[in-house]
Amino acid sequence: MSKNNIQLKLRPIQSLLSGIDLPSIEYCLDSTQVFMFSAITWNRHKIHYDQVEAKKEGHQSVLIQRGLIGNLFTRFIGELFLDVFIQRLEWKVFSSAFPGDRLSCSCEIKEPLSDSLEQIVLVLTIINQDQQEISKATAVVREINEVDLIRPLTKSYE
Amino acid sequence: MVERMENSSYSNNNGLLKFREHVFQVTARDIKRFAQAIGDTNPLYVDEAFAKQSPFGAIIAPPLFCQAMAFEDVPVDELPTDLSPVELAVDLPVNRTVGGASQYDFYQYISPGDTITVTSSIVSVEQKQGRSGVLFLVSVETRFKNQFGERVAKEVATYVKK
Repeated sequence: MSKNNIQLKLRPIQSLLSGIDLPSIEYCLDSTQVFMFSAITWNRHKIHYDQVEAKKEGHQSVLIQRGLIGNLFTRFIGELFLDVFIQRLEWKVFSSAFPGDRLSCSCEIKEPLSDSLEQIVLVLTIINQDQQEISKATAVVREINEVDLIRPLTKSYE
Repeated sequence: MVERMENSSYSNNNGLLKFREHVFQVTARDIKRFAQAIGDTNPLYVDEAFAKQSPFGAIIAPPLFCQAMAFEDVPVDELPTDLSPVELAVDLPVNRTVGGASQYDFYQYISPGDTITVTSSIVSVEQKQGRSGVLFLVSVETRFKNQFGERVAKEVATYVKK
């Protein structure tokens, strides 16, 4: 259940047809999470882990990466809908987000892309605890199908 | 035109456009670490037994796993002074960089064992007048292809340099 007490893991087509009011989910990232994301993406830009450097550049603290904010959108979609494939995600960051911020992600279904309702467009927004808009995104999603299955590997990865 | 050079070096066009290429071998460990870094506990990303029973039949990577492959493993002394990624390094009269926007197109899932070829190029640099002076919007296009030569994903990211 979401904080709005609405059942998650909806199927997108069902949600669209029912006109359901989609829930919002709140995320809070700490500096360890931000550091781990810099590490796994091999992004050594100092403003994401060096407080002194971040402040020297005029930021109040180390910054949450644009890329990590994108992952909040994909997590949110994954928590809202069951078995969807994201075909496109575009997002823009309007204000900086910092470790400890309470980032609330919300979503509305904009329109089906075709009469068959195979794809839908989601408009997503992240605001912080001060109701400041941090980022806005648009996603095109469809239900997974056979083409998404993983083919056998020619050699084991173990 | 941007010319491709060997060994991930790059060529200039009026000092602005670059092209880089590198190869990334995807492992289950990479995917697990990425899932931990983004705080996503979906067992499809980390639990092999669970993933085998799923419709996918194997572990898959989170949608934006491509981010783990986008920046090449270059030595620190090849980075700009703020240590921002070399993929977006451009000779401009500014020295600060922040991420602005991103657009990803996804074509298929990534799983352990995939070999992904990553190519990136700076596709445009636009000068703007910001509130506190001149700034530049640098757009970087990154394409990801697998070992079968199939497209996996494409990103166009815009960074703000000021």
